[in-house]
Amino acid sequence: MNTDTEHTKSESEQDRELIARAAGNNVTAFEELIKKYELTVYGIARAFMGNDPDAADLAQDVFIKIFKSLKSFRHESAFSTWLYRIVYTTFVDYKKSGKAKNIAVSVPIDDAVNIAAPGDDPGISAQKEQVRDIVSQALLMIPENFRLPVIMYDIQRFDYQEIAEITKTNLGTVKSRINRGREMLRKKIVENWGNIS
Amino acid sequence: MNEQRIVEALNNMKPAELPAGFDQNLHLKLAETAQENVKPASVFSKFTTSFNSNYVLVYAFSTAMFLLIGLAGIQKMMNTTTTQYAGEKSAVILSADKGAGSLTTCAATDSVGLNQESYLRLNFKSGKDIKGISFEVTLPEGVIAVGQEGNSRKVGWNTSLVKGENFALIKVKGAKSGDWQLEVRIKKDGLEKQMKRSVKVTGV
Repeated sequence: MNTDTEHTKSESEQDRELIARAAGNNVTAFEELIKKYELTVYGIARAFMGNDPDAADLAQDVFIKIFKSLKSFRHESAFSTWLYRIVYTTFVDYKKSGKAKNIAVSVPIDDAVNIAAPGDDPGISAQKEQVRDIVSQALLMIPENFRLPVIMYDIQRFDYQEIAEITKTNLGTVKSRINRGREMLRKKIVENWGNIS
Repeated sequence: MNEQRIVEALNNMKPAELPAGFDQNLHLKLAETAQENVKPASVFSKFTTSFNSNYVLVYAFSTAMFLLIGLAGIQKMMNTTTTQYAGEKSAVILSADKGAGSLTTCAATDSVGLNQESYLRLNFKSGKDIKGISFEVTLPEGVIAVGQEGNSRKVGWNTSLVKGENFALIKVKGAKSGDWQLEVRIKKDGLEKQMKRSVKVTGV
């Protein structure tokens, strides 16, 4: 099924040509082809792994895997959907393989006091920055099959339909995972940083 | 913290930026993968039909560099180290000698055409796996980094090294003719190692 939404657009003639050349082992064509996906893939990897070195390793692993698999792409779905499906499965497998090195860091409860007491905070933006840091760290604490849909929907702004196609699940399951993922996040934040107001 | 605030924080996460050297390292891995994909029995026919001329040049250049670097590395290891140390001791020793757990670094004396883009290849040989190591390359006046936002003379990245050969490619452009030196700084746990390498920009 092809949709034409923000992340999973049908490929253009130029893309088709690049895909064919890249499938023929042409590195330059492949680099041109993936240029528009690099930042999104890296952004997902960064949020998923929680640090730059692991994210760079993972994003590069996934692009190598895509390069090796291009010959098997049959244009049965949009190229972007196929690409993100490899991203999704590689990320989940990467965690299972034990290659991931990230360690979720807990901030002592005292550090949350600044957030709970805006009057003591030097500024709203600094407070928001702290909240984003805490949410980023809490993301690493929830299971991958909930973390990835939350990252894709709430950070990278994929829509439900795109995520359903990429993960090969139905819309209901996607919505449920995102809602449950957010709830898990909330619980992890309360467990580790207290009830931040 | 309620769910609305969590969603707001997620929606407003800073956009990720590709780390410096990401594309160069990916290029190298892709080039190695492409080479593995070519069966030895038909290397020549596939090579000429599958790769465009630019890539062949880059690949030929990389291969030539690899050979030069290998020779330079062996010669370097035979000689006394010229590297400098900012720290005394560390769990990971950065040195140019042949000791266990050591990291040796070398780059061939390199040549870049004036106003031409090319890849400088740095070769790092590590005696063991090293995580959390950072590299900073300061380019001389005659060479600028390509595709680098902001300071085009400094290229930095964080990475891990595996035991054995490791490589980094830096895409550069010759800006001014002459013989120049680039500086490589390697940092790990407060220890810093510096070294200088020659690069020549040819043409008028």
